[in-house]
Amino acid sequence: MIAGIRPSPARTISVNLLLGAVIIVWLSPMSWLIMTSVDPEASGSFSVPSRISLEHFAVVLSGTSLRQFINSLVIALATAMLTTAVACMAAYPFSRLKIPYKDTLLWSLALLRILPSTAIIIPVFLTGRVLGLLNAGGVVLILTLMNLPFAILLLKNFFDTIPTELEEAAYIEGATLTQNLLHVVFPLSRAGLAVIWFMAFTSAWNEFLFPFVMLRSDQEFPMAVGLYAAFGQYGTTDYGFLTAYSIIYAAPAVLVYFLLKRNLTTGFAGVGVKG
Amino acid sequence: MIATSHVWLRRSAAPLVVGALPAILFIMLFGVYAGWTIAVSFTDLALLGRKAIEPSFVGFDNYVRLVARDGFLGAVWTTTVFTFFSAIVGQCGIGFLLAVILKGGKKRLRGIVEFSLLFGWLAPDVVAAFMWSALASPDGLLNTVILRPLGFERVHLLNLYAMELVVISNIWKGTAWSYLLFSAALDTVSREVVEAAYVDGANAWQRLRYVLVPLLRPQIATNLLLVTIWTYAFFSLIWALTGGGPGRDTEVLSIYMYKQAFEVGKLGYGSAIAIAMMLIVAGLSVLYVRQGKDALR
Amino acid sequence: MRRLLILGATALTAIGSFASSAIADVTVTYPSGWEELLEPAFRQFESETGEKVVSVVVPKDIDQRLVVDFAGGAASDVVVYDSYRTSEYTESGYLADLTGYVGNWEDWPLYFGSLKEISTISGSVRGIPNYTDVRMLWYNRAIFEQAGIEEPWKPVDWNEVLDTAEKIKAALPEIEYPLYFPVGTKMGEATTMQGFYMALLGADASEGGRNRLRDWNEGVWIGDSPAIRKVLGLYQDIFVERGLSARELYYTPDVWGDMRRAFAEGKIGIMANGSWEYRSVWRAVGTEKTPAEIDAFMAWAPFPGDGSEGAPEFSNISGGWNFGISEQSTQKDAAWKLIETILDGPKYAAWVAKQGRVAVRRDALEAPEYKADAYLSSLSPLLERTTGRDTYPGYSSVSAFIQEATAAILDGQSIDDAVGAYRTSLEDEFGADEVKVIQ
Repeated sequence: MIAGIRPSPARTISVNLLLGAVIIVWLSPMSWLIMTSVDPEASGSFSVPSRISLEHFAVVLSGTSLRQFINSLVIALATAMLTTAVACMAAYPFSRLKIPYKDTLLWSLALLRILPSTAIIIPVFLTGRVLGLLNAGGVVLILTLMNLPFAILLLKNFFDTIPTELEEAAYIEGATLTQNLLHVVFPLSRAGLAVIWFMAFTSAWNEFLFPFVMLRSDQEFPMAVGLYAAFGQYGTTDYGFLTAYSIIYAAPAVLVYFLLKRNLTTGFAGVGVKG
Repeated sequence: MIATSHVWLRRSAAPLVVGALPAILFIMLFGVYAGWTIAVSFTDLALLGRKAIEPSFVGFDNYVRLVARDGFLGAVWTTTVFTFFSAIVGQCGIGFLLAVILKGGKKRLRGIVEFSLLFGWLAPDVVAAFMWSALASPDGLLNTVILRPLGFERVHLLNLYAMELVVISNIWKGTAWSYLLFSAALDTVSREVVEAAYVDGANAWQRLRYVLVPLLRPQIATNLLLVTIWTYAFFSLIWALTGGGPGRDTEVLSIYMYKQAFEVGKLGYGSAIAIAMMLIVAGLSVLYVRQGKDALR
Repeated sequence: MRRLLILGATALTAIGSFASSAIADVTVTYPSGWEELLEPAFRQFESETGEKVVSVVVPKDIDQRLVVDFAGGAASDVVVYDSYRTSEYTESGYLADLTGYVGNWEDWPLYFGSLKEISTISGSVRGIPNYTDVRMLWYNRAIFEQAGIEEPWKPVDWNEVLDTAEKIKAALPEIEYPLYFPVGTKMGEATTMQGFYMALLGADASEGGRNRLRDWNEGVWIGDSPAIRKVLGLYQDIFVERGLSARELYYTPDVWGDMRRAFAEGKIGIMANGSWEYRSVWRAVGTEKTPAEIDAFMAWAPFPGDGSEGAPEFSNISGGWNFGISEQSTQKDAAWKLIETILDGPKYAAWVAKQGRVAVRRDALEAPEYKADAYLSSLSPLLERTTGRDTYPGYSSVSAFIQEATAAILDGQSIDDAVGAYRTSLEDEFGADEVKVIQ
C-alpha cells in the first residue's frame, strides 16, 4: 500500500531489491537440501554435485520410508479432521452466547499449551495405556487435545466476524439449528475452518514425541520418528537419503497449503481479529 | 434460557452443549494433565530409581530452587531475549512490513515471496535445523559462497553466534504466520483511508504510524499475544540445532525443562519449571492486554 | 459441513481400527543398528515356537523410550538397554530377576566375571551383556606426520597430550580440532564417559574414591575433590585457555555423524573416544575400508593419567549394552527363550566381530572371525585393567550434573563456581549427608 500509490521509480527499485533479498535469505537454507538430495556422492558438506540423480528419492519412496509416509499422512489427516470438527462445535456457542469472561477463559486455555509435551508425557502415556490407546488412534487423540485450545480460540475469533443477520433470517424462515449451521454458518466459515485444519495438519505432521513413545511397533512410526534412522547415535549418517527424505517429508504441508490457498488467505483475516 | 441476543439460539441449549461436549471433555482431560503437573511440581518424583516409585512431598522446594539455583533465571532471560527478537521484532515486525510492502505489489513477485516465507514455516523442525546448520557450518553456504570469496576468514557461526543463529532461524520459520495474518487483515482496510492520508501529504512512515497501525491494532495485539505464547514454549528447532549450546548460550526454558526432567531425571523439578513458564506467560499476556487497553484510551 | 461430519466419522473409524497388537506376541525394544543380529533370530524363534515377535527399533533416545514404557507399565518383554542403567531400573522394580534362567543356561559360564558383576544387583542377575567397549585417544596419523610428531604416540601424561595438540595447532592452523574432547550436555553420556570420567580416573590415586564420583566404602557421592577440579581444569585448558578445540562439533544437529565425518576428513587431530569408532567412523561416512587401510589412517594410544603421584599410568572405562526382561512381562519364559535364540554362540561371535565391538564371552574370543581381527585382539591390555562407572542408583543424574559442569566451564565460569554448582546439585538430589568433599 505504501509502495502501491504512485511510487517513484527509485523507490520501486529499492523495494524490489529488498524483496529480492528477502527471497534469497529465505530460500538459501534450501540450497544445501536440494543439492545434497540429488548428489549421488553426497557427503554432507556444501558442494555442487558433479552429477545429478534421483536415486535417493527412489529409495525414500519405497519400503520403510514409504510406509512411514503413509503413517504420517493417516495421523495428520485424522488429527486435522478431528480437531476441526471438535473445535468448531465448541467455538460456535462460544462466539454466539454471552458467557461471562469468555475471552479470559479462552486465553487461559491457550496458556495450557505452554506446558511442554514432555511435562505431561507420563500421565498421557498412562491414560493411553488404561484406555488401550497406545496406538495411532491414541496419538491422534492426544494431538487433537494439544491443538484444541488454539483451535477453539482462533475459530471463535473467526465466527465473531461473521454477521449474524443471515442466521437470523434463516431462523425466521424456519431453519433448525442444524440446518442453520450446515447451510449458513459453516459455508461462510470455510476459510476459518481451513486455517484450523491446516494448522492441526502441520503440527501433527511435525510431531515427534507422542508417536515416538506411544506407538507399539516401529511399523507404525511416522516420518517424524523415522527421520532419525537416517542419522544419529545408533545409525549411520546417509546425507543423500536424509535430504531426500526431508524434502519428501516437507512436501505434503507445502502442497496442502497451495491446495487450500484461497481459503487460507481469507481465513487468516478472521482468526486474528479480536484480542 | 441461555444468555444471548440471538433468538434462534435461545431454545437450542441442548444441541449446542452436546456439540461442545467433546471439546469440553478434551479440555477437561488437558486440565487433569495440567493438574498432574502442578501436583508433581510439589514432589521429588524422578524418572528413575526409588523416587520414581515412591516420590515424597517436598512443599515449595522445587520452586525455591528455581530462584536459588543456577539455570532457571538464566533460561528465563535467554527465552525472553529469544522471544523479543525472534517473535516480536522479527516475525511480527518483518511480517507486518512485508505485508504492507507487498500489498498491491506485483502478483508474481508477491507469489515468490509468499512461497519463500511459507517454505520456512512448513519445513519440519528437524529438517530446518539441518538446513541452518549446513548453511552456517564452516564448510557451509555462507562461508564457502559469501565470506571466503570476499576474503574473510572462515567464521564458526554456530560457535560464536549461536543465539543470533537460533533467533534468525526462528524468524525464518515463523514470519509466514504473521505475514499471512497481517496481509489478510490489510485487505479489510479500505483503500480510501490510505489514499486520503496520501493526499493529505503524509509520507510512508506517517501513513504507517498514524493510519495503518491504529487501524490494525486489534490484529497486531492478538498476533503479538499468539506469537509470544508460541515462542516462549518453542522447543524442537533449537533443540535440534544447538541442543541449548554451546555451553548454555541457547538454553531456553523449554530446553532447560526437558534437560532437568528427562536427562537429569527430576520430573518434580521439571514440572515446577513448566508451571513457572505458564505463570510467566500469563503475566506477559495480562501486561499486553493492559497495554492494549491503555493505548486505546 | 456434511462432508466434515463424514470425514470426522472416517477419522474415528480409523482410530478404532488401530487396535493394539495381540498380547500373545513377544515384544522386543532395541536400538537401530542391531538388526543383523536380531532379525534372523526372530525368524528362527517364530518358526521354532509358532509365536510372533513384534519389535520396536528405536532410532534415537532409547533410554527415554524405555523409561516411559517402564513407568507407564507398557514395556516390551525383552528390552535392550545401556548397562549402566541396570541398578536404577532394578531399584524401580523394572527388570525381572534372571538368576533362575542363567543358572540353567550352559552359555552363562562363558561370560566374563567383571561384566556379570555390572549386571548383578544384590546377588540377582538383571541383564545379559551383549558387548562391551574400551576408551582411548584416537589420532589421525597423517596429521601427526605433517606436524612432525613421532609415532607410535604414547603420551605419558595430560601435559603431553595438550602439548601434542598445541603442536598440531601450530603446524596446521587450519585444523580446528587438534584435540576433540566430548563436552556439554548434547553429547549426553559420551561427555561423562569418553571425556570427564576417563580423565578423572587418571587424576588421582584410587584410595577413598579420590579418582571417582562415588566413594563406595562410605556409600556417598563426591561433591568436590582435587581430581574433579583437575579435570575441569583440563576442560578449561582445552576449550578456554589454550583453544585446542572449537565448540561446534559438540552441538550440531547430528553430533555423532558430524564428529565421525570430521575425523574421516582429517579435521580432528586427536580424539577422546571409544573402541567402536574404528568401524563406526567409516560406516558413518559410507566408505568400505580394509583393516590395513584403517590402520594406515588412524591409531590409538591409551588415555594417560595426569602424572601425579599414585595416579594410574593410564585409564580406561568400559560400558556396554544388556538384554533384559521387563518385570511387567507376562511371558518371561518365552522372552528368555528368545534371548537364548539371539545369543547363539557362533552367530553372536560373527556379528560382534563384524561390528568391531568387544565380545563379552570366551567362546566369541576364540571364534575364527574374532581371532582374525588384529584390532580387536589389540584391545586386550586395556580390557584387562578396565573399570566401570559408578552405576549406583542416581548415577544418571550425577552424570547429567557432570555434563552441566563441563558446559559451565565452556561458558567461561570459574572452576570454583562450576564445582560449587555441581556440589549443590548433588546435595539437592541426595541430601547433604549423602555427599562428601575430599580436600
